Amino acid sequence: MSWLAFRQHRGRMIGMGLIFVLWGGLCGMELYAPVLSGMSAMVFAYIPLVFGVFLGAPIVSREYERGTHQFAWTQSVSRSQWFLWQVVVALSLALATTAYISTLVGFVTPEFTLEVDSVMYPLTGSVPYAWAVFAVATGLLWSAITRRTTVAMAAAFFGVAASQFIAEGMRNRSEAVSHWTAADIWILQSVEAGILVAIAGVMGLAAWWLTARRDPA
Amino acid sequence: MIDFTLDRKSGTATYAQLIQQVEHALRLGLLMPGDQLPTAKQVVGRLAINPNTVLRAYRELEARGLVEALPGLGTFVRRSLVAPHDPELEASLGEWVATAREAGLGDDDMRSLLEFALSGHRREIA
Amino acid sequence: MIALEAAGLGKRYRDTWALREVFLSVPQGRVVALVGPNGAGKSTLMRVAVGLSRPTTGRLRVFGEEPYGETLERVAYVAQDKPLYDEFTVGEMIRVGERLNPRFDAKGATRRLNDLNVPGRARVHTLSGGQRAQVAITLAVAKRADLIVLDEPLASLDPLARHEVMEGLMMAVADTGMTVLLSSHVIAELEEVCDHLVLLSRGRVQVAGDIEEILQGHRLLVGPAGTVPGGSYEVIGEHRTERQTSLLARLSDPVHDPRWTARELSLQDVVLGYMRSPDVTHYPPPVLAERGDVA
Repeated sequence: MSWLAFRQHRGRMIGMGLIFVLWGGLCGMELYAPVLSGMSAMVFAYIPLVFGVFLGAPIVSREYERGTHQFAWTQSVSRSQWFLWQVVVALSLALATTAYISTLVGFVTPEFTLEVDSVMYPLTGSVPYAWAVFAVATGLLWSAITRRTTVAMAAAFFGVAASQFIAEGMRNRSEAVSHWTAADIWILQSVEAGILVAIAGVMGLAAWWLTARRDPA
Repeated sequence: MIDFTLDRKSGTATYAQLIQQVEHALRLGLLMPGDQLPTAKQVVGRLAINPNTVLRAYRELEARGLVEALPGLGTFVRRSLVAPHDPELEASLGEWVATAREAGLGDDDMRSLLEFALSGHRREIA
Repeated sequence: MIALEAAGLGKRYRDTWALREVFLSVPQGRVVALVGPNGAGKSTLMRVAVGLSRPTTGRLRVFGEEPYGETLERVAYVAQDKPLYDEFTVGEMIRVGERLNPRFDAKGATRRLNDLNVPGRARVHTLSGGQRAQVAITLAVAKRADLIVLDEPLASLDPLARHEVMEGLMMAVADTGMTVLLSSHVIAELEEVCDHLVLLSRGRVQVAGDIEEILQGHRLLVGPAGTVPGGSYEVIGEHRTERQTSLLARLSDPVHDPRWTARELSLQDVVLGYMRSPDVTHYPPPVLAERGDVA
């Protein structure tokens, strides 16, 4: 089962490979041209959108569109197992890419103080991983609901962008009340990550239910 | 070994066609006692028909005492159907054909008369 | 052993019933022709049989189990459009089959596709329609399932490919004795391969049973116009001219009437006759089907 999921993700693995190279180049440029400092961190905000659109949204709908679900789901493997492996591979790709980028950016970014509105906030601690999981789950849910890849991609894009916007607003609001310091900002980050992962879990369950329990029509 | 063919338009059941072909070959002497019939799989590989159909035809032939299935070896002919040569019978049929032709009957007319005679039906003239 | 059994099976899509009160009992080892006009519910019945769709009412069992989970090992399915992963090579498709099915015969599948001149290195999207069908059906056969379900396997194939598909399938039947469920709206293509018939009409079973028994039980009665043959039979369809009446009839006893002749019918004649009279059903009631289980 894992073989099929990995083989089907080959194209997307190449895509993530390109991101690896791109970020490598970007960070390299920052090292040699301090004017550009902080750029790779700023562009990172778009990465969850990429995860949602290219890793989450195609998972189920691509099968429906090509009719291959009728092949995949009538082998000797349960639909739930099939679903699990697809999600595991997509999540692994998203998390590996996140780990690579956050490490690389941390390496090239000069000393900084972690604040709520700093560009490094989304790149430190558990926050970037939580967003990766959340973005994939958003794409996945839309994929399972709409069964159309393009529609799911658009919905995932706007869904993740809107969530980022809302999250930023809520962060600023809590900052206005609590004035997070570098020492205790991890609490805010953990709360944010916890909420994101919880929502992602619910979305993932819903997507599983829609895939494994609903008729593929 | 004989090679089966299938007349898909004949309307005759496939197993019946197989039986007919074996009997025909037995009558013509193409199959003689001791000869082996093709295995079900060989027939299936050629005609793309249900293997059970072949087995059924062979069972029927066995029931008629014409062939014998030897487990693990195959199905073999037991008895020939080559008709004994009967000059008297052939001559009287020849005479009948000549008379019928004189009476203006064509080949097809004669065939249908023979068919009727064989099926034991009496022709009803309205 | 009963390979496929349905009891009171119904399937509704929104507000239309694709299947209603379907009772079926197909013994193991049969090659079943599932026929009926377009929209009769053939594909729906097949999808329920392989666990893709769930029944709205009643139940369906494959070898006594619901077609989910481990039972899927015993069932193989090829959908009508022969879905495969377009970007994979044929060899990779075989590998998928091997990875996803414990009983999969990868060597056999490779050999069979070689014999059919389908190269293992070819990408699926470059295959012709016939080759694609061969790959899909070969994979299903290689799964070594006990029941193989093929939805319109011969549609859009040329005569040679049809022959090859059927030949491969029948060879597999000869080897394994598996049960086959084939659908088609062209009964003529199934006549030589099937020994069991299920005729669906408007989501219900109109005729079901071993083909030989069905053929034995039906005759075309031809006789003079204005008379009725004596005997016990049910008329499925009739055709009248000024002088002659032809009745497609299901006989309970042979008809003994010197003015009438009883002709044997081909499967196609019987099926067409029923399809023209969709309200006539000939199927043993569920009680009989249940009794068949025990035997």
